[in-house]
Amino acid sequence: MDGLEISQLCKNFDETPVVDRIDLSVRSGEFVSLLGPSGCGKTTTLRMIAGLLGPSAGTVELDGRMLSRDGTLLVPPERRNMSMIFQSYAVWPHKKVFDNVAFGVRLRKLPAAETRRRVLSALEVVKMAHLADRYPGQLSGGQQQRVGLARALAVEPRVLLMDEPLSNLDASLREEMRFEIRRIHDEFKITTVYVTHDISEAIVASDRIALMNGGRIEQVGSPVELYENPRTSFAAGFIGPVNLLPATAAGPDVVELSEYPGSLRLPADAKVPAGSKVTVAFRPHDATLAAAGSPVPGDHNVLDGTVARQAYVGHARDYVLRLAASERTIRVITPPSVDFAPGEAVSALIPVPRCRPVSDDTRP
Amino acid sequence: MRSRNRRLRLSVLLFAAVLVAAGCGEAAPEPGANKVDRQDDQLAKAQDEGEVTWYAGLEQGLVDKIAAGFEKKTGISVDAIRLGGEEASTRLLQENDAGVHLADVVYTGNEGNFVDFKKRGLLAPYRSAEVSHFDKAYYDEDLTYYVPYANRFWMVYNTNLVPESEVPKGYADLADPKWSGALAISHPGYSVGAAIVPFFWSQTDGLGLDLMDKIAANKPLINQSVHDSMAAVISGERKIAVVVNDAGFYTDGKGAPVKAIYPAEGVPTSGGGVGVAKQAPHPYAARELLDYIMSQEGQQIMADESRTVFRDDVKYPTGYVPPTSGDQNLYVVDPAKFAAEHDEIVAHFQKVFGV
Amino acid sequence: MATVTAPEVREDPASGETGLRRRARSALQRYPLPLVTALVLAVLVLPPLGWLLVLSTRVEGGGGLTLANFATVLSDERYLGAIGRSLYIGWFVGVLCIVLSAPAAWAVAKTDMPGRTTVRVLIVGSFVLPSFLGALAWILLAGPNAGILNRVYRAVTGASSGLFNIYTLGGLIFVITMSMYPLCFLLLSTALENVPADSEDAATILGASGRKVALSITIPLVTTAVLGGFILVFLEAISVFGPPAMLAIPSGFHVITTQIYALLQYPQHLELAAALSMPLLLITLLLVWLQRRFIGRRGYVTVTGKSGARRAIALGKWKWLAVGYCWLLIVVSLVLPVAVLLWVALSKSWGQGFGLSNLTLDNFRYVLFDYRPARSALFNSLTLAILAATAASVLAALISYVTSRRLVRGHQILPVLTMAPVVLPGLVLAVGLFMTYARPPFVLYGTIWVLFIAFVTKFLPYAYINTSSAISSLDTDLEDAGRIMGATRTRTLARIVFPLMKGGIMSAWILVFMVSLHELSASVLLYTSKSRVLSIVLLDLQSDGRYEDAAVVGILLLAVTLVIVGIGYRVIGKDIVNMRTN
Repeated sequence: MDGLEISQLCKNFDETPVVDRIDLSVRSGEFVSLLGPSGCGKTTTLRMIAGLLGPSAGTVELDGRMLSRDGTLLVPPERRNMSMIFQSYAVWPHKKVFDNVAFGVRLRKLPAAETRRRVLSALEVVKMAHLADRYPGQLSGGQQQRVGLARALAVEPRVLLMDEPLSNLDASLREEMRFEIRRIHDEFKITTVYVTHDISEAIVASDRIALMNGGRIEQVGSPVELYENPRTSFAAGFIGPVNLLPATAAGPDVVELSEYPGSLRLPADAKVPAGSKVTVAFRPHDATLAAAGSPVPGDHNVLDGTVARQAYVGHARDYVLRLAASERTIRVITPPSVDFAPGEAVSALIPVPRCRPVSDDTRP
Repeated sequence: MRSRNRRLRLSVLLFAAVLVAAGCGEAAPEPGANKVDRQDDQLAKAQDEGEVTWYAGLEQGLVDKIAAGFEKKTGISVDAIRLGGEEASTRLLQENDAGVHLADVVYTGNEGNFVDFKKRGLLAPYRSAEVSHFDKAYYDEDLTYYVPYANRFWMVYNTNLVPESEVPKGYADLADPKWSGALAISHPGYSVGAAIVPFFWSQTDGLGLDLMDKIAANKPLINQSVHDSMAAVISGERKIAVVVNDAGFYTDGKGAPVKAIYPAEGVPTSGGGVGVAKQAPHPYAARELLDYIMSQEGQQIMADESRTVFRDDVKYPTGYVPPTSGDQNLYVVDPAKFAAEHDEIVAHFQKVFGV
Repeated sequence: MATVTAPEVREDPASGETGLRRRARSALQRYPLPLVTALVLAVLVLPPLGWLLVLSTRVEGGGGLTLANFATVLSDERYLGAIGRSLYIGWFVGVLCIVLSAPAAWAVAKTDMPGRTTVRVLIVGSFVLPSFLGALAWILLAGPNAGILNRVYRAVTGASSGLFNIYTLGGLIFVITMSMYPLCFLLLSTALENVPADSEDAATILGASGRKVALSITIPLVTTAVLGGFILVFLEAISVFGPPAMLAIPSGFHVITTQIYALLQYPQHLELAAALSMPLLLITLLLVWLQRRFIGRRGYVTVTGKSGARRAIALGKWKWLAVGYCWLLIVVSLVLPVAVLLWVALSKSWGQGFGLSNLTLDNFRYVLFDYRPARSALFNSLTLAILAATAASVLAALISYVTSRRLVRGHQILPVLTMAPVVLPGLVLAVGLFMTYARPPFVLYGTIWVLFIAFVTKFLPYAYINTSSAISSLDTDLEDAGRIMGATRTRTLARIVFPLMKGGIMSAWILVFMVSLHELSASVLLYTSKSRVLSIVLLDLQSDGRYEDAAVVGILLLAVTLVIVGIGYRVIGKDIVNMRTN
């Protein structure tokens, strides 16, 4: 089967599990991000794919060929035909830009002319050909990472691994490089695994995102799926701002809120088992505000409360509402034209399809 | 897999190379070299060997001249190792214990060493072609060693620092406290010659080994060789060198403000020795070198450098005071007796001087 | 980055073999580099130590076990005296080195004294003068009667006796101090430079006076360097051989090293020599332990060229006092000795005054062309120094790599083995090596290889300190990048890790080259006719009273050292300019 196949992969450091039984398939030509907070095991996973680390258990397969199995490296990193881009750039300071890029190509014993062509074209792709004769010490951080990118591309790897490649760059450069990376992927269609803790990087660049937490994969899906349809409260919170309300299911599409005297309707496909504990998630952007007692449009849930705080942020107003008869607060972001002063009684209106039940359990 | 195995082999090979290097250094003894008499093809065989290692317990100037003369004559290169007499013994014995055989010819200023070497079986007997020119008092009856020269021991003073009237007459005068800080003596633990003089004291009425204690009270500079004592007087570091041999006097003292004192109690005189090592790695070249040292040419080199030699056909240079001169009272050291007393003299010296 | 443990690579099990042998074989196949490295280390370090132990507890001549040798050592006044004198010397040299170098280090590191850089370079640079060469120079300068300083003094004052007498215990302490204080200077000035100006500023802002800042901030921060320097110098002083051999024996006393050497002379007392080595070993062990315990690993010379913003203390009118003091140190420890060696090397007879008629080049001609031992010794010394420096730095680099990347289980033992020779004074190591390599199965005695092993063993720690700090500052990503690009571990090591460690490896190389060239205390026991080195030739000539020729050899030694060290630092310097990164 084509692509990268990881199953039940584990890594323990001194008995502590850092990566815990993860499964992941990356199709040939696909760009998948491993997204998660620091310490979630994403870098460790990447290094196991690279073969720089041996797994404690589980398997890594590429195109049907077993690379690592149950604590043993069957194929050392240098024979996996992968390449990697590092957070620290890892550009060799004792080699000129050209030689950095040529290193891997030369190991493949191509004719000199072909080597040169490949190196220069890789440098061309990252717009660094004019600096081929410089030492890395003479380059800026962004330029060094372009060298790292060229070096990884020049070997025409089967799989390209990127380990937080943009974290050391400053904000504007980071934004530019995101699109650059996606452009290059669209051009070459190299199977890519990209590790990041930055949600917007993952969203811009990836075909699919594997969200990791505590050594496990919480959810795998396209950026839209993850944003629109988070499966867990962690996933919902990590991808963007969210309101999470604990509740108990009263029917397949109705829940009673635990901290608010009222119920919410859920989309028909929610199908929560009656009596079970669920958490309802909706995003602050999806709600809007109306004066208390305003008519409720159809297909909306309503939560009453008072404005606790309001901030004008130019393109929007950012509200914190204290729910009626409750200590619970929720966040609502409205267009700037919707203007209520702190203390005013208001109703938050949330479209029913935007209310998703999520699980608190992190186990898939 | 393949590259890994190659790497493994390489590491093992490297390691093995170190071990193999460790195995070198053994030399098989030559069977033909066992015959005592000189062989007709000896020179040719020696030239095949090409080099000879000489443990030379005599001063460098003389070593250089003899080595140069021998090389010119035979084309065999000499690796001459200049060592103090006792150092030469130490090394020969130590290397023999270790089973390492480096020396071909051994030469020290102490015939007593050779009595010891012979007893330990470290010498190979050889009838030198030159033997007819020597009285049999000057070679071992079993032909294991020869006496290439003798040393006369006397004192030397710096004429700039010691007025004529104050010059000591003999060893006994050295006990005078006025020589405090003025003497240089040599250590018998490192230099054979330095043991001969105290031996003479121990054998002489009125002196005895006690003289060492009295000299020690004058805090002499303690040198490792008799030549260093001589150097200390030449440079003016000390006024009087207690133990200097005639060779040192004439070779090192040329032009320097120094003069010899023939001690009133007597001038200790002792033969040196030269022999071929039993396990010589170059046995033929060794014999050739020994022949050369005992030849007219070799002995004349030593006579020119003011050594006392016993060959019947050498001439001494002008200005040299021959052993027969009237104002000397020669005392000839018996090597066997000296060898018997040697260790005690060294021990006494170490006790008295603390080193 | 995250900790990296070795990926385990499984080989097909070799068929037909079973048990231990197969396990050993597969282990060797799996980790050839680390295991061979460990093996080499064990072979280097363990046998000499073992033999020393065996010998010291053996009945003289070799029959049965005994403690009698120790009883002799600890009851005989001569041996006790030697031990006592060594400790006395070590103590005073330690104190003097600190006291002498502290003002200079402070002036260089903390003040606006003019010519600071020159002073620093010259003081640290006096390392190129080995201690036995210093001793030779001071015999010529301060021999009680013929010494040049004393002759000048008598001529000027008309006094009947000289001012200095180098042939005393005090003279010996002085000579050793002059050769060791640069070490303390280096430690102290580096420590002072690294005292962060911020923490001093912080105290000043809080209202502390200048003196208070010194007392409460600066001094505590450099205490480590002071103690470390003291211990280092103490250890060097009790294990040094050259100066006491040249000065103590002539003045009629022994220290431990000369006494051990004397016991090894004919007639030999190997067992006593081994037993007398033990106190030296134990003292060293104790001090190294103390150093580790209380000072930590930074006690060793780790020179970090940190050059942050420094705020120089203005010396005002005192600055000429500081300049005068520093230059006095330099003149006494470097200029005078080198000048006298040069002059004596060019003299016909050094006792004969300063006249032009006494000048000659004959000594150089003689030593360079006619004196055979000098040429072979020069060849041997250079060969040995180059080989030992190369072997030690490559081995040290490998050990640092294996250790820092935790390539094998039990890698922790490697640094311990590597640093073990630190506690072995040269002469003691030589006794052990002599016993090891003068008998089967490794008969190396009589070749330069036994010296090679001695040098590599003795100086491996020096190299390791340099290489391990070089590798610990190397990001593992750099080599991971190499692996994932398709290079094997060996190729990555050769093409990426070693080139990047070049600075560390080069300074290890230069250091080991220099100390090997200057090695005397192990060589003096291990040399043979086939393996003389320059330091031995110099000692021979000196003990023969041929001071002029000895001085020539000394000048040669200095010249070779300066040329190689100069080239080396130029190469490293260029490198640093080229790569200036991060």
